[in-house]
Amino acid sequence: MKIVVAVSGINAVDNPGPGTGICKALKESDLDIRTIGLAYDAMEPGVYMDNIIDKSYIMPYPSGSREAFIERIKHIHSVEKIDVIISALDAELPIYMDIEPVLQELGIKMLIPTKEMFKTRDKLRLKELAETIGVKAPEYRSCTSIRDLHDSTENVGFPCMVKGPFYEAFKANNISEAEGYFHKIAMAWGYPIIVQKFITGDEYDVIGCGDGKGNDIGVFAIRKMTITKLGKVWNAVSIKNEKLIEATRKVVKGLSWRGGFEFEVLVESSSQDIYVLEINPRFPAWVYFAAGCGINLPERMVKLLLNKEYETNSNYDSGKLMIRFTNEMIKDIKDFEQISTTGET
Amino acid sequence: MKKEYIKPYIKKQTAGIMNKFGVSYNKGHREDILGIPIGNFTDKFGSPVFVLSEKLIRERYRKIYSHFSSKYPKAKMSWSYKTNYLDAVCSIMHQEGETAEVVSDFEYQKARRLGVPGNKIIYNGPYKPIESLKVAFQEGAMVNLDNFDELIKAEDAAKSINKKVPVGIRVNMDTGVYPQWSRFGFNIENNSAFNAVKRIQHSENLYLEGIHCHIGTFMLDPNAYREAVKKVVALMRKIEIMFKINIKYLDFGGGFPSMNKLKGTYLPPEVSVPPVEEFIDAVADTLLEELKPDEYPDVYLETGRSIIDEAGWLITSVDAVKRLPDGTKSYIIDAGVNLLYTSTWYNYKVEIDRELHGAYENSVIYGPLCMNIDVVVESAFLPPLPIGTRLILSPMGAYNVTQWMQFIRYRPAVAMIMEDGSLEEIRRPETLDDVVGPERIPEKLKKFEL
Amino acid sequence: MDRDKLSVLAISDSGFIFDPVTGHSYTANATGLRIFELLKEDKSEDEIKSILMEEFETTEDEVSVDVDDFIENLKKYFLV
Repeated sequence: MKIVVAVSGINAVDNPGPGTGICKALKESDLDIRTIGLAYDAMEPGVYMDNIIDKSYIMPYPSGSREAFIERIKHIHSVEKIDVIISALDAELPIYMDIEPVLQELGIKMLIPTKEMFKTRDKLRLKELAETIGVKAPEYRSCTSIRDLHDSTENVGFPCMVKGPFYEAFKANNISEAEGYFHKIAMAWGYPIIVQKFITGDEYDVIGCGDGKGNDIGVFAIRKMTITKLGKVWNAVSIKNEKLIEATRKVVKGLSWRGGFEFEVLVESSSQDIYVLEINPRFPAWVYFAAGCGINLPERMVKLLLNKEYETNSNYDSGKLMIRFTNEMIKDIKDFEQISTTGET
Repeated sequence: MKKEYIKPYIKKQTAGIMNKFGVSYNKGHREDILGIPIGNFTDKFGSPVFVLSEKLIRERYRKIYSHFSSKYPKAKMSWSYKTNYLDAVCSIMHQEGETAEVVSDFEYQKARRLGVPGNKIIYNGPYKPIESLKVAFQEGAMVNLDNFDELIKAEDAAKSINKKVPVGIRVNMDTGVYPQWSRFGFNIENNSAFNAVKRIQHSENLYLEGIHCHIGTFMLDPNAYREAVKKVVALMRKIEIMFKINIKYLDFGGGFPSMNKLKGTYLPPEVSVPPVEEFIDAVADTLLEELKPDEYPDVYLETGRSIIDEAGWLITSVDAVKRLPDGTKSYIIDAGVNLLYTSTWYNYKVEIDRELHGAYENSVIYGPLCMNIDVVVESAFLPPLPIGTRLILSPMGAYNVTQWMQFIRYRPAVAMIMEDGSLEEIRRPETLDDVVGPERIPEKLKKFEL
Repeated sequence: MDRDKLSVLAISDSGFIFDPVTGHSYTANATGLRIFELLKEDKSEDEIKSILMEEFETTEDEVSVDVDDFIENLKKYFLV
């Protein structure tokens, strides 16, 4: 019997979610998996990628009611008999953390952080976390008003990064730019808005997955080579950096991290100090890079959840390149009709 | 047999918002409140009507108090009058054992009139007229001072009645929460709180008995209370050592959130609002960590919103339907922002009184006022509503029936569902006499002909 | 009202409507689709209203407002 895994974040657009990468990794694993896409919009590309996503459903937004969200999952579960959900979007994670017990009762398994872990990696608490793992955190302030923003930017100085509570980060060179980004982010994602000191250096990322008991089930590090205007990795190279891996493992151990994560750091050019920028509580959009290099974390996650044997090694080659590219698919308006009128493919 | 009629509907598909399920915050209908059909309320009290539940208020209070008192031995609670000071509501709280927390001479008088003894009143707020301070001191109320000018005023008040009276000070501090509430009370970090105490202890008519703080409103992070408790206890220690006095009470105010959806928050309140126990734990656990058993002071919480918000609803009726020039569906209901001050910062839960078919669309709900600002709900995901549909808006228990204003219409009835399921009118709808009662026409203006 | 455009629309039973000229798509419910049919049959607005009243459990007032509203919407979308 096929293992049924539902995956969200199948929006492989210019600000891509990790969902399609996860599905691709699952399809290439040695498990026999039926992939279910959980989309929030009829135009999410994953909906149309029937080579890696067997069926897609539209979900109600996580900003709506908890009940509506549960009802929808129950409906999908009644048809698909879902074994595992891999949540891949920051904004929906709180609702999954909240309803995990309900899902568990339905027989749906998830490997996600607890509310406590989620809070500890909150952007507002990075400083504490950085101290405990022995790295630095850039100066930052949280703002809920324009007045706060003015005070904060005065404190942090320009250029600075203006970041949302869930998504989006912009480099602001002056106060009017900062104000523009502040309003833009607040409109979409609410408060608080974070103003962070801008540090010049190289950006590195580590992807990994914690088992919830303090161990990782594999980590994989990269240096970002090119980044899009939205701050997304476009090209990257795999690296072996012991200092970085060690810091990552301290995070996993310190928080007993449960689930996928992305550890974003910056190494300052002038001092070579490691600054932690963010800990994303889910797989990043480039999750397939690791899978393609033998560290198939979605596969390991599913195996762990279903009590199957899984690898935990982090043996990969440095010097592998990830080249992301754009592509086109040709579909019929009928496909669009199907998803937009019935809510499923 | 004719088919069921569903209003015709067509909608253009727009990229980026093609979600069949949409932002369906609280899609659904309810035919009753606690078993009583919606129609019963409007038949009996008219529309709109505010509804409160005695049972839910008591249950919620007991849940909070029992959790608090099981964690901290000298737990006390005081009812925040400004949250809802209808006599019936305050009486429930006083029956449960809460004292009265007032922030104005009006509230003070209202509590006294209801039968609350002066020494069971906490008198807070940034403005206390000298006459009311005299009464409060005379009657033994717990008065928490807000600023240096008030401190001097309090001294004068006490002197004029020839007494040396106990006072508390309101303090503010950085608890890691933004925006920081720094306008109320004396700041701890810049030492003004300590200086205020010094001033009080040197006074012939005042002495210090308590410390009060209230770090914000609708707080979503319990940790802020940990910080507050730590800082207040540290201040208490410092004061007790320096002046060799005993602080009798600490008061951590309120600010716990309810299940209302704040504008500018992305997640639904069921997910973003931590359970109230976490807030109480933050206060009580930190107290136990910081204090030695022999120094436990009385500790007050002035929880308002968190107790009563979800025990209240507003039933209102759809009076007209209109499609705006930009295509947005809009409804006009019989309750406006004059009754719903809290609509400024909440996206209420909107429920309809019956099951309706038809395509849901984002609609705007307007009040009946002849004013452009009268928008009750900016965007509610609703099926087509026929005229006369009743909308049940919630949570409504906190602040509305104190902050409402009489503007062009009478304020409506407030009904209470009693514990036994019976209905009581706890505030009748206003009449013309209620409104014009205080008015007086100068003699020369009395006559006119048209 | 220009009804020529109606004939080129691809209207499916699911309520999905595709306009091959503009590339826009729309969703409508069953009552909406019924009005489309009647419009295509060249019925006048008054005729449409009375037909709907015969077919559905509704009142003249309600149908009248709703049909006007619906056709207003079609005009706004440049479908008629």
